[in-house]
Amino acid sequence: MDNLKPLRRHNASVIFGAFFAVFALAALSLITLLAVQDNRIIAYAFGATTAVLGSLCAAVVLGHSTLRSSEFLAGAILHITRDNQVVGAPDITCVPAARDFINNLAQTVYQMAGAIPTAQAQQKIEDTSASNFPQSVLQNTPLAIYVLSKDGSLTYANQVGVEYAQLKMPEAIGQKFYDVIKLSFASTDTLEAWLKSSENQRATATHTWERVQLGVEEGATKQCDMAVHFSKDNPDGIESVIILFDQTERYTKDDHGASFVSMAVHELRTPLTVMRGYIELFEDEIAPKLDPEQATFMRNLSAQGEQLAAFVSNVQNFARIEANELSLSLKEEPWGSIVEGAVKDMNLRANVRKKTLQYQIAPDLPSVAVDRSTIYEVLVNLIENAVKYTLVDAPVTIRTYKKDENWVETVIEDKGVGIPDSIIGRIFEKYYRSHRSSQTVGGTGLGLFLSKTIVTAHGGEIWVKSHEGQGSTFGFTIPTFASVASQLTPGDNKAIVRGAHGWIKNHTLYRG
Amino acid sequence: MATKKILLIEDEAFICELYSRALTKAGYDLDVKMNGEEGLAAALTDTYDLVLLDLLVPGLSGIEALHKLRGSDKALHGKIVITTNMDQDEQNRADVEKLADGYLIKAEITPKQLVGIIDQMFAQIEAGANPVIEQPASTISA
Repeated sequence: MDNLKPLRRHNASVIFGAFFAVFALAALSLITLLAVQDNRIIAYAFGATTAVLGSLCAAVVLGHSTLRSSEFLAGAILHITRDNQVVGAPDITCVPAARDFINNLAQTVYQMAGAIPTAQAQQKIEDTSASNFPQSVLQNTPLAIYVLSKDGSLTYANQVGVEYAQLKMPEAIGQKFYDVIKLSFASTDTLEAWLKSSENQRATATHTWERVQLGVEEGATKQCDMAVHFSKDNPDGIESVIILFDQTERYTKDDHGASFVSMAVHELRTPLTVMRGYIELFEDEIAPKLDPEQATFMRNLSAQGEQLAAFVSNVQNFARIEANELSLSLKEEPWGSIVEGAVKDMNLRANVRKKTLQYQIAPDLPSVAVDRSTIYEVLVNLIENAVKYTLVDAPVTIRTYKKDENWVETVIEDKGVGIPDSIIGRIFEKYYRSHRSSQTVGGTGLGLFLSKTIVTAHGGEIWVKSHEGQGSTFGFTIPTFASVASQLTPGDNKAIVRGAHGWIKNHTLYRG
Repeated sequence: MATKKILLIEDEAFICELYSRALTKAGYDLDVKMNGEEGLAAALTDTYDLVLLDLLVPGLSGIEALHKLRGSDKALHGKIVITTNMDQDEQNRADVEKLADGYLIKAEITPKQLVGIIDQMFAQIEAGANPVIEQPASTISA
């Protein structure tokens, strides 16, 4: 290293020049991308990734580095971050491409973490030799970074990581990650579950989560997005690197937004209640006096009222999911009658579009564990879609049967327009609507996203098979009651069920 | 079955009209209060078998009213079913669940469905059972 010292001394401007070139590249990407589509995430993630990679290259090429340059790096990342906040965070939900950049970032950090001695306690970085460059970068990066060993214990946390999770150092090092960092996830897609499945199935993998809650002290939580890179059998003993992006501020803003949604939903529901009430009154008291055409108008009106009520509920549930507040209470329910009820309820809406619904309920159907009103919305959304995208005279078929000991499967099949292969992978995404379907059929792109979220929250899976021009088949599984009974609270049958529609204490099945 | 007395606390005139019409037609003895204070005063007379309470009525905090009606002195012995179009946040929901006997989103049910739910609730009470009624999961009139 000594022979490099003169170089360092005399060519500081070259080094900083190289660094600024990297930074300029990052900034250029930022500006270009912002200009293209006002999207901070790509700019941020790409910028940060470029800066990190670039600095590594610079370190390798120049054969040395200084702590000072890592501060520059941190500065560069900060600079690219919006609002110049210390811990700014990209929005990984904006565009699919953003995930790739985040994944790159996670992998890069993972590689850098290879330079950190395992089980090393938090300490001020004094060593500025080349070998410690990645460490000093990690240490000064304004993102919370944690390194886990193969057995899931914490081997490293950078400065921000320590502050962010309020870790007690150095005691936290060597402890199980889940014991020192309390994360809670919106669905069953948890870090633990993912790491477990990665361990069995993959050599390396990267995954991102949105809106993970981090418990900091009693009662208080922070909200963050999270990226994790996993690598099996790493020679350095590192198994995974976890990066947290503080999103508390943004999500808190969203939560205020959600309460705005609640107010808007309330305002929409009042006239809706009145309209549906009067429509019912008309149907009762005037229908006998109407001619067939007028009666059809009346039915159309009624069907639209129902559809609007269902949509408003979707919006409310969507806001709940976004706020991480969708709470389900699974209870033993007779699935056959729920499906039958949904089909009956959807008949009017299908009939006004001149479609028929057929259904088959397997005779040996076991009872299931569901949150009745939310799972009902999945049925309604899927049947509604099947009806909406069937432009020919063909019935929509709903079948439900016992798939195996643990699962009941329900399948909704149509002979409609079908889904092109090119977009089928994206249809469960939030707000996703294909260019073509948005031209021909109205919709918001919420229904399938909600359906997937609700089914997943039940522990089940949702799937689709489709041939363009021939129709689509959507299916989902829900757990049999027997398979989850032991996990449910004893005496749960007297529990209050929460749902978007309301409740009355002590339930049995009611059909009005 | 003796005629059941129901108090409707609701400030939206059209909803009052629709619910009054449906409940009266179904044979219930109905009082309507469109103002929160009057509604609470009426409920405190404890002469009703059922109070349908909107949580957002001028002059009344629904949650506060619930506490007054169902607090330590249990000022009301009849049933309380919340009829609202407002989804509650977690905190309020816990209170509502503890104190009320039911929670219905008005936009999700038609007046006839409301009558069906109430009929069944009273039938259960009459039969000596706790009300074992569920709001239909559907958003739709049967």
